[in-house]
Amino acid sequence: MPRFLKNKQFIFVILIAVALISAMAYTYGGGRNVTPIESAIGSILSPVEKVFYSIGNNVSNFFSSIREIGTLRAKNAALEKEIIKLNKNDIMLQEYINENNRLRDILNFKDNNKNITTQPANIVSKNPGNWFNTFNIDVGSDDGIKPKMAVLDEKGNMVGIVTDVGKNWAKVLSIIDVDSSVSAIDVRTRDNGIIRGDSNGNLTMIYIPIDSKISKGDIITTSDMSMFPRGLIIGRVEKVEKDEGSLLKQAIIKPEADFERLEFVQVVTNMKTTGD
Amino acid sequence: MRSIYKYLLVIFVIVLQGTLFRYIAILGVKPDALLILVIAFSLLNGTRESIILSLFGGILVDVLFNNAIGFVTISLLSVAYLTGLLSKNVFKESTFVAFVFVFLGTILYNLIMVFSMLLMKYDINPSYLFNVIIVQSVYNSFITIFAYRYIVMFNSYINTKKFFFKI
Repeated sequence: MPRFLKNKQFIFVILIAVALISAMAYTYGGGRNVTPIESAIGSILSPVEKVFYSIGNNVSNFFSSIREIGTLRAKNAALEKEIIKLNKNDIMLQEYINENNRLRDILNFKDNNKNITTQPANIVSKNPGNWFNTFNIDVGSDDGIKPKMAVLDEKGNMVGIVTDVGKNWAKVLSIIDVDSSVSAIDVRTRDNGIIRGDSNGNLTMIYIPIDSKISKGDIITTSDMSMFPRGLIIGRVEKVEKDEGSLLKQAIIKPEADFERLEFVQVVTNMKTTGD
Repeated sequence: MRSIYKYLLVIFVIVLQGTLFRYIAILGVKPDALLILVIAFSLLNGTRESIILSLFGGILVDVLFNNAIGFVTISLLSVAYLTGLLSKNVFKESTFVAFVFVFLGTILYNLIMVFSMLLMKYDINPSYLFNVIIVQSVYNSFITIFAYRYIVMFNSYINTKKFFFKI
Protein backbone atom coordinates (compact mmCIF):
# COMPACT_ATOMS: atom_id res chain seq x y z
CA MET A 1 0.00 0.00 0.00
CA PRO A 2 1.39 3.45 -0.93
CA ARG A 3 2.45 5.57 1.99
CA PHE A 4 0.05 8.45 1.35
CA LEU A 5 -2.97 6.17 1.78
CA LYS A 6 -2.01 5.74 5.43
CA ASN A 7 -2.44 9.47 5.99
CA LYS A 8 -6.00 9.82 7.30
CA GLN A 9 -6.08 13.57 6.71
CA PHE A 10 -5.18 13.14 3.04
CA ILE A 11 -7.99 10.62 2.55
CA PHE A 12 -10.34 13.04 4.28
CA VAL A 13 -9.35 15.82 1.86
CA ILE A 14 -9.91 13.51 -1.11
CA LEU A 15 -13.36 12.60 0.20
CA ILE A 16 -14.26 16.28 0.61
CA ALA A 17 -13.04 16.97 -2.92
CA VAL A 18 -15.24 14.19 -4.33
CA ALA A 19 -18.22 15.52 -2.37
CA LEU A 20 -17.57 19.02 -3.70
CA ILE A 21 -17.35 17.83 -7.29
CA SER A 22 -20.70 16.05 -6.91
CA ALA A 23 -22.19 19.18 -5.37
CA MET A 24 -20.85 21.18 -8.30
CA ALA A 25 -22.40 18.78 -10.83
CA TYR A 26 -25.71 18.84 -8.95
CA THR A 27 -26.05 22.59 -8.55
CA TYR A 28 -24.50 23.73 -11.85
CA GLY A 29 -26.82 25.61 -14.16
CA GLY A 30 -28.87 27.36 -11.52
CA GLY A 31 -32.62 27.66 -11.81
CA ARG A 32 -33.41 26.26 -8.39
CA ASN A 33 -34.88 27.56 -5.18
CA VAL A 34 -31.95 27.30 -2.78
CA THR A 35 -31.99 25.16 0.36
CA PRO A 36 -33.05 26.77 3.68
CA ILE A 37 -29.44 26.82 4.96
CA GLU A 38 -28.17 28.70 1.92
CA SER A 39 -31.17 31.00 2.09
CA ALA A 40 -30.42 31.78 5.74
CA ILE A 41 -26.74 32.53 5.03
CA GLY A 42 -27.80 34.94 2.30
CA SER A 43 -30.44 36.55 4.50
CA ILE A 44 -27.89 37.24 7.24
CA LEU A 45 -25.18 38.64 4.99
CA SER A 46 -27.29 40.50 2.39
CA PRO A 47 -28.10 43.51 4.63
CA VAL A 48 -24.40 43.88 5.54
CA GLU A 49 -23.40 43.71 1.89
CA LYS A 50 -26.10 46.20 0.96
CA VAL A 51 -24.59 48.78 3.36
CA PHE A 52 -21.08 48.35 1.95
CA TYR A 53 -22.32 48.37 -1.63
CA SER A 54 -24.24 51.61 -1.17
CA ILE A 55 -21.26 53.22 0.60
CA GLY A 56 -19.09 52.37 -2.41
CA ASN A 57 -21.70 53.70 -4.82
CA ASN A 58 -22.17 56.94 -2.90
CA VAL A 59 -18.43 57.63 -2.82
CA SER A 60 -17.99 56.94 -6.52
CA ASN A 61 -21.10 59.00 -7.40
CA PHE A 62 -19.67 61.90 -5.41
CA PHE A 63 -16.44 61.86 -7.39
CA SER A 64 -18.14 61.41 -10.75
CA SER A 65 -20.50 64.32 -10.05
CA ILE A 66 -17.49 66.55 -9.31
CA ARG A 67 -16.08 65.56 -12.68
CA GLU A 68 -19.37 66.32 -14.46
CA ILE A 69 -19.93 69.85 -13.10
CA GLY A 70 -18.14 71.56 -16.00
CA THR A 71 -20.18 69.91 -18.72
CA LEU A 72 -23.61 70.28 -17.13
CA ARG A 73 -24.72 73.42 -18.99
CA ALA A 74 -23.89 72.10 -22.45
CA LYS A 75 -25.50 68.78 -21.63
CA ASN A 76 -28.68 70.47 -20.43
CA ALA A 77 -29.03 72.46 -23.66
CA ALA A 78 -28.57 69.32 -25.74
CA LEU A 79 -31.15 67.44 -23.69
CA GLU A 80 -33.71 70.24 -24.06
CA LYS A 81 -33.34 70.06 -27.84
CA GLU A 82 -33.76 66.31 -27.59
CA ILE A 83 -37.02 66.72 -25.63
CA ILE A 84 -38.54 68.96 -28.30
CA LYS A 85 -37.62 66.42 -30.96
CA LEU A 86 -39.01 63.52 -28.93
CA ASN A 87 -42.28 65.35 -28.28
CA LYS A 88 -42.82 65.68 -32.03
CA ASN A 89 -42.01 61.99 -32.46
CA ASP A 90 -44.43 61.07 -29.69
CA ILE A 91 -47.36 62.76 -31.40
CA MET A 92 -46.50 60.94 -34.61
CA LEU A 93 -46.29 57.62 -32.76
CA GLN A 94 -49.70 58.16 -31.16
CA GLU A 95 -51.14 58.48 -34.65
CA TYR A 96 -49.47 55.26 -35.68
CA ILE A 97 -50.69 53.42 -32.58
CA ASN A 98 -54.27 54.47 -33.23
CA GLU A 99 -54.03 53.51 -36.86
CA ASN A 100 -52.45 50.18 -35.93
CA ASN A 101 -55.19 49.39 -33.41
CA ARG A 102 -57.89 50.25 -35.96
CA LEU A 103 -56.32 47.99 -38.58
CA ARG A 104 -55.82 45.20 -36.02
CA ASP A 105 -59.51 45.36 -35.17
CA ILE A 106 -60.44 45.09 -38.83
CA LEU A 107 -58.19 42.03 -39.30
CA ASN A 108 -59.08 40.40 -35.94
CA PHE A 109 -55.36 40.23 -35.19
CA LYS A 110 -54.50 39.02 -31.68
CA ASP A 111 -52.70 41.62 -29.59
CA ASN A 112 -49.60 39.96 -28.18
CA ASN A 113 -47.85 43.08 -26.94
CA LYS A 114 -48.46 42.32 -23.30
CA ASN A 115 -47.43 44.99 -20.83
CA ILE A 116 -44.70 43.86 -18.47
CA THR A 117 -45.00 44.17 -14.71
CA THR A 118 -41.83 44.68 -12.73
CA GLN A 119 -40.58 44.43 -9.19
CA PRO A 120 -37.86 46.94 -8.25
CA ALA A 121 -34.74 45.69 -6.46
CA ASN A 122 -31.38 46.92 -5.18
CA ILE A 123 -28.10 45.27 -6.04
CA VAL A 124 -26.37 44.13 -2.85
CA SER A 125 -23.12 42.65 -4.17
CA LYS A 126 -21.24 41.47 -7.22
CA ASN A 127 -19.32 38.26 -7.79
CA PRO A 128 -15.96 38.52 -5.98
CA GLY A 129 -14.13 36.42 -8.58
CA ASN A 130 -12.91 37.43 -12.01
CA TRP A 131 -14.45 34.64 -14.07
CA PHE A 132 -18.18 35.24 -13.68
CA ASN A 133 -20.43 38.24 -14.09
CA THR A 134 -23.15 37.64 -11.55
CA PHE A 135 -24.70 39.85 -8.92
CA ASN A 136 -27.12 39.48 -6.02
CA ILE A 137 -30.34 41.45 -5.50
CA ASP A 138 -32.37 42.03 -2.37
CA VAL A 139 -35.69 40.49 -3.43
CA GLY A 140 -36.52 36.78 -3.38
CA SER A 141 -39.27 34.21 -3.29
CA ASP A 142 -41.11 36.31 -0.68
CA ASP A 143 -41.61 38.98 -3.35
CA GLY A 144 -42.72 36.51 -5.99
CA ILE A 145 -39.37 36.13 -7.72
CA LYS A 146 -38.83 32.83 -9.53
CA PRO A 147 -35.82 31.40 -11.38
CA LYS A 148 -35.40 32.35 -15.08
CA MET A 149 -37.08 35.75 -14.75
CA ALA A 150 -35.59 38.61 -16.78
CA VAL A 151 -33.83 41.45 -14.98
CA LEU A 152 -33.83 44.99 -16.43
CA ASP A 153 -31.92 48.11 -15.42
CA GLU A 154 -33.77 51.27 -14.35
CA LYS A 155 -34.25 52.39 -17.98
CA GLY A 156 -35.67 49.04 -19.05
CA ASN A 157 -32.63 47.57 -20.83
CA MET A 158 -32.02 43.87 -20.37
CA VAL A 159 -29.21 43.08 -17.89
CA GLY A 160 -29.64 39.49 -16.78
CA ILE A 161 -31.53 36.40 -15.75
CA VAL A 162 -32.45 35.28 -12.22
CA THR A 163 -30.77 31.94 -11.47
CA ASP A 164 -31.02 30.92 -7.82
CA VAL A 165 -33.69 32.34 -5.53
CA GLY A 166 -33.48 32.56 -1.74
CA LYS A 167 -36.09 33.84 0.67
CA ASN A 168 -35.26 37.53 0.38
CA TRP A 169 -32.33 37.50 -2.01
CA ALA A 170 -31.56 36.12 -5.46
CA LYS A 171 -28.57 35.54 -7.72
CA VAL A 172 -28.65 37.10 -11.18
CA LEU A 173 -26.55 36.02 -14.16
CA SER A 174 -25.62 39.05 -16.33
CA ILE A 175 -26.07 38.75 -20.06
CA ILE A 176 -22.36 39.60 -20.48
CA ASP A 177 -21.38 36.38 -18.65
CA VAL A 178 -19.92 33.69 -20.91
CA ASP A 179 -22.55 31.24 -19.67
CA SER A 180 -25.59 33.29 -20.67
CA SER A 181 -27.46 33.01 -23.96
CA VAL A 182 -30.55 34.94 -25.00
CA SER A 183 -32.59 34.66 -28.17
CA ALA A 184 -32.53 38.04 -29.89
CA ILE A 185 -33.75 39.87 -32.97
CA ASP A 186 -32.54 42.84 -35.02
CA VAL A 187 -35.34 45.42 -34.87
CA ARG A 188 -34.70 46.80 -38.38
CA THR A 189 -33.91 43.70 -40.43
CA ARG A 190 -35.79 41.08 -38.30
CA ASP A 191 -32.79 38.73 -38.23
CA ASN A 192 -32.85 36.22 -35.42
CA GLY A 193 -29.77 35.17 -33.49
CA ILE A 194 -28.44 34.15 -30.12
CA ILE A 195 -26.75 36.69 -27.85
CA ARG A 196 -23.87 35.38 -25.79
CA GLY A 197 -21.43 37.14 -23.51
CA ASP A 198 -17.75 37.32 -24.34
CA SER A 199 -15.38 37.86 -21.49
CA ASN A 200 -14.51 41.47 -22.47
CA GLY A 201 -17.80 42.99 -21.32
CA ASN A 202 -19.31 42.94 -24.80
CA LEU A 203 -21.83 40.60 -26.38
CA THR A 204 -21.66 38.51 -29.53
CA MET A 205 -24.70 37.69 -31.60
CA ILE A 206 -24.22 34.35 -33.34
CA TYR A 207 -26.23 32.29 -35.86
CA ILE A 208 -27.10 35.31 -38.03
CA PRO A 209 -27.99 34.23 -41.62
CA ILE A 210 -25.30 34.95 -44.22
CA ASP A 211 -27.61 37.09 -46.41
CA SER A 212 -28.64 39.30 -43.51
CA LYS A 213 -28.33 43.08 -43.97
CA ILE A 214 -27.53 43.67 -40.30
CA SER A 215 -25.29 46.72 -39.95
CA LYS A 216 -23.62 48.96 -37.41
CA GLY A 217 -25.96 50.89 -35.13
CA ASP A 218 -28.94 48.51 -35.37
CA ILE A 219 -30.87 47.97 -32.14
CA ILE A 220 -31.09 44.40 -30.86
CA THR A 221 -33.99 43.33 -28.65
CA THR A 222 -35.22 40.05 -27.19
CA SER A 223 -37.18 38.04 -29.71
CA ASP A 224 -40.59 36.47 -29.41
CA MET A 225 -39.07 32.99 -29.42
CA SER A 226 -37.33 33.34 -26.05
CA MET A 227 -38.96 32.91 -22.67
CA PHE A 228 -38.61 36.64 -22.04
CA PRO A 229 -41.17 39.24 -23.06
CA ARG A 230 -40.29 40.51 -26.50
CA GLY A 231 -38.87 43.93 -27.19
CA LEU A 232 -36.53 44.27 -24.22
CA ILE A 233 -33.58 46.29 -25.50
CA ILE A 234 -30.26 44.45 -25.28
CA GLY A 235 -27.81 46.64 -27.19
CA ARG A 236 -26.53 48.10 -30.44
CA VAL A 237 -24.50 46.45 -33.19
CA GLU A 238 -20.88 47.57 -33.05
CA LYS A 239 -19.30 45.43 -35.76
CA VAL A 240 -20.44 42.68 -38.12
CA GLU A 241 -17.98 39.95 -39.01
CA LYS A 242 -18.04 36.84 -41.16
CA ASP A 243 -15.76 33.91 -40.51
CA GLU A 244 -13.95 32.58 -43.57
CA GLY A 245 -15.65 29.39 -44.68
CA SER A 246 -18.53 29.79 -42.27
CA LEU A 247 -22.12 29.89 -43.46
CA LEU A 248 -23.21 32.28 -40.76
CA LYS A 249 -22.41 35.82 -39.71
CA GLN A 250 -21.78 37.08 -36.23
CA ALA A 251 -21.93 40.55 -34.75
CA ILE A 252 -20.34 42.29 -31.80
CA ILE A 253 -23.04 43.97 -29.72
CA LYS A 254 -22.40 46.78 -27.26
CA PRO A 255 -24.82 46.35 -24.34
CA GLU A 256 -27.13 49.31 -23.73
CA ALA A 257 -27.05 48.89 -19.93
CA ASP A 258 -24.04 50.21 -18.03
CA PHE A 259 -22.88 47.17 -16.09
CA GLU A 260 -20.18 49.04 -14.17
CA ARG A 261 -22.57 51.49 -12.56
CA LEU A 262 -25.65 49.35 -11.96
CA GLU A 263 -27.37 50.17 -8.70
CA PHE A 264 -31.10 49.57 -9.06
CA VAL A 265 -32.69 46.93 -11.25
CA GLN A 266 -36.21 45.69 -11.93
CA VAL A 267 -37.29 42.08 -12.24
CA VAL A 268 -39.95 41.22 -14.83
CA THR A 269 -42.54 39.20 -12.92
CA ASN A 270 -44.92 38.14 -15.69
CA MET A 271 -42.80 35.76 -17.72
CA LYS A 272 -44.33 33.45 -20.30
CA THR A 273 -43.14 30.18 -18.83
CA THR A 274 -43.56 31.01 -15.16
CA GLY A 275 -47.14 32.22 -15.62
CA ASP A 276 -48.68 35.55 -14.76
CA MET B 1 -12.24 31.41 21.84
CA ARG B 2 -10.10 34.11 20.29
CA SER B 3 -10.12 32.16 17.04
CA ILE B 4 -13.66 33.40 16.38
CA TYR B 5 -12.01 36.66 15.27
CA LYS B 6 -10.36 34.70 12.49
CA TYR B 7 -13.70 33.53 11.12
CA LEU B 8 -15.16 37.02 11.49
CA LEU B 9 -12.20 38.34 9.52
CA VAL B 10 -12.88 35.81 6.76
CA ILE B 11 -16.56 36.85 6.58
CA PHE B 12 -15.58 40.53 6.55
CA VAL B 13 -13.11 39.96 3.71
CA ILE B 14 -15.72 38.07 1.67
CA VAL B 15 -18.24 40.89 2.12
CA LEU B 16 -15.63 43.50 1.14
CA GLN B 17 -14.71 41.48 -1.90
CA GLY B 18 -18.29 41.30 -3.12
CA THR B 19 -18.94 44.98 -2.63
CA LEU B 20 -15.97 47.36 -2.61
CA PHE B 21 -13.16 45.46 -4.34
CA ARG B 22 -14.47 46.32 -7.82
CA TYR B 23 -13.18 49.87 -7.26
CA ILE B 24 -9.58 48.67 -6.86
CA ALA B 25 -9.57 46.42 -9.94
CA ILE B 26 -6.50 46.77 -12.17
CA LEU B 27 -7.11 46.02 -15.87
CA GLY B 28 -10.49 44.69 -14.83
CA VAL B 29 -8.95 42.13 -12.49
CA LYS B 30 -9.80 42.11 -8.79
CA PRO B 31 -7.36 40.79 -6.19
CA ASP B 32 -8.48 37.82 -4.09
CA ALA B 33 -8.12 38.72 -0.42
CA LEU B 34 -9.76 35.50 0.75
CA LEU B 35 -7.10 33.46 -1.05
CA ILE B 36 -4.30 35.53 0.50
CA LEU B 37 -5.79 35.11 3.95
CA VAL B 38 -6.31 31.35 3.62
CA ILE B 39 -2.81 30.79 2.22
CA ALA B 40 -1.27 32.89 4.98
CA PHE B 41 -3.07 31.03 7.77
CA SER B 42 -2.30 27.63 6.20
CA LEU B 43 1.35 28.61 6.03
CA LEU B 44 1.38 29.64 9.67
CA ASN B 45 -0.76 26.89 11.22
CA GLY B 46 -0.49 23.82 8.99
CA THR B 47 -2.85 21.43 7.23
CA ARG B 48 -5.63 21.16 9.81
CA GLU B 49 -6.16 24.90 9.71
CA SER B 50 -6.00 24.92 5.91
CA ILE B 51 -8.84 22.40 5.56
CA ILE B 52 -11.13 24.13 8.08
CA LEU B 53 -10.56 27.67 6.79
CA SER B 54 -10.80 26.84 3.10
CA LEU B 55 -14.02 24.90 3.62
CA PHE B 56 -15.50 27.73 5.70
CA GLY B 57 -14.53 30.55 3.34
CA GLY B 58 -15.02 28.64 0.11
CA ILE B 59 -18.49 27.35 0.88
CA LEU B 60 -19.54 30.81 2.06
CA VAL B 61 -18.41 32.37 -1.24
CA ASP B 62 -20.02 29.60 -3.27
CA VAL B 63 -23.36 29.78 -1.49
CA LEU B 64 -23.46 33.56 -1.67
CA PHE B 65 -22.26 34.21 -5.18
CA ASN B 66 -21.75 31.19 -7.42
CA ASN B 67 -24.11 29.05 -9.42
CA ALA B 68 -22.09 25.86 -9.04
CA ILE B 69 -21.52 25.16 -5.34
CA GLY B 70 -18.00 23.88 -4.77
CA PHE B 71 -16.38 25.84 -7.57
CA VAL B 72 -14.29 28.14 -5.37
CA THR B 73 -14.08 25.70 -2.46
CA ILE B 74 -12.32 22.94 -4.37
CA SER B 75 -9.68 25.29 -5.79
CA LEU B 76 -9.16 26.92 -2.42
CA LEU B 77 -8.96 23.57 -0.64
CA SER B 78 -6.32 22.16 -3.00
CA VAL B 79 -4.12 25.25 -2.82
CA ALA B 80 -4.47 25.62 0.95
CA TYR B 81 -3.81 21.94 1.65
CA LEU B 82 -0.67 21.97 -0.51
CA THR B 83 0.50 25.10 1.30
CA GLY B 84 -0.16 23.44 4.63
CA LEU B 85 1.86 20.37 3.64
CA LEU B 86 4.81 22.43 2.43
CA SER B 87 4.75 24.82 5.38
CA LYS B 88 6.70 22.36 7.57
CA ASN B 89 9.82 22.90 5.51
CA VAL B 90 9.95 26.69 5.25
CA PHE B 91 10.59 29.67 7.46
CA LYS B 92 6.98 30.69 8.08
CA GLU B 93 7.25 34.25 9.32
CA SER B 94 9.24 35.45 6.31
CA THR B 95 7.34 37.79 4.01
CA PHE B 96 9.34 36.54 1.05
CA VAL B 97 8.18 32.95 1.60
CA ALA B 98 4.55 34.14 1.78
CA PHE B 99 5.12 36.19 -1.40
CA VAL B 100 6.27 33.10 -3.29
CA PHE B 101 3.47 30.94 -1.90
CA VAL B 102 0.78 33.48 -2.81
CA PHE B 103 2.21 34.02 -6.30
CA LEU B 104 2.33 30.32 -7.15
CA GLY B 105 -0.85 29.62 -5.19
CA THR B 106 -2.84 32.17 -7.20
CA ILE B 107 -1.67 30.64 -10.46
CA LEU B 108 -2.65 27.14 -9.30
CA TYR B 109 -5.96 28.40 -7.88
CA ASN B 110 -6.93 29.97 -11.18
CA LEU B 111 -5.76 26.99 -13.22
CA ILE B 112 -7.97 24.65 -11.16
CA MET B 113 -10.88 27.06 -11.70
CA VAL B 114 -10.24 27.13 -15.46
CA PHE B 115 -10.12 23.36 -15.45
CA SER B 116 -13.51 23.13 -13.71
CA MET B 117 -14.89 25.69 -16.15
CA LEU B 118 -13.72 23.54 -19.05
CA LEU B 119 -15.51 20.58 -17.48
CA MET B 120 -18.67 22.68 -17.32
CA LYS B 121 -18.32 23.49 -21.05
CA TYR B 122 -17.56 27.19 -20.78
CA ASP B 123 -16.13 29.07 -23.76
CA ILE B 124 -13.03 30.76 -22.42
CA ASN B 125 -11.09 33.33 -24.35
CA PRO B 126 -7.39 32.26 -24.02
CA SER B 127 -5.94 35.79 -24.04
CA TYR B 128 -8.36 36.89 -21.32
CA LEU B 129 -7.50 33.82 -19.29
CA PHE B 130 -3.77 34.55 -19.47
CA ASN B 131 -4.40 38.17 -18.53
CA VAL B 132 -6.47 37.36 -15.48
CA ILE B 133 -4.06 34.77 -14.11
CA ILE B 134 -0.90 36.86 -14.51
CA VAL B 135 -2.40 40.15 -13.32
CA GLN B 136 -4.06 38.54 -10.32
CA SER B 137 -0.91 36.68 -9.25
CA VAL B 138 1.15 39.86 -9.36
CA TYR B 139 -1.56 41.89 -7.63
CA ASN B 140 -2.13 39.31 -4.89
CA SER B 141 1.54 38.82 -4.12
CA PHE B 142 2.04 42.59 -4.10
CA ILE B 143 -0.68 42.93 -1.46
CA THR B 144 0.92 40.10 0.52
CA ILE B 145 4.19 42.03 0.84
CA PHE B 146 2.38 44.71 2.85
CA ALA B 147 -0.26 42.64 4.60
CA TYR B 148 1.66 39.55 5.70
CA ARG B 149 3.36 40.96 8.78
CA TYR B 150 -0.04 42.08 10.13
CA ILE B 151 -1.49 38.62 9.50
CA VAL B 152 1.46 37.11 11.41
CA MET B 153 0.83 39.51 14.30
CA PHE B 154 -2.89 38.74 14.26
CA ASN B 155 -2.19 35.00 14.22
CA SER B 156 0.24 35.11 17.14
CA TYR B 157 -2.28 37.23 19.05
CA ILE B 158 -4.96 34.57 18.57
CA ASN B 159 -2.66 31.67 19.43
CA THR B 160 -1.09 33.17 22.58
CA LYS B 161 -4.48 34.03 23.99
CA LYS B 162 -5.60 30.48 23.40
CA PHE B 163 -2.54 29.21 25.24
CA PHE B 164 -3.30 31.59 28.09
CA PHE B 165 -6.75 30.16 28.64
CA LYS B 166 -5.70 26.53 28.37
CA ILE B 167 -6.47 24.52 31.49
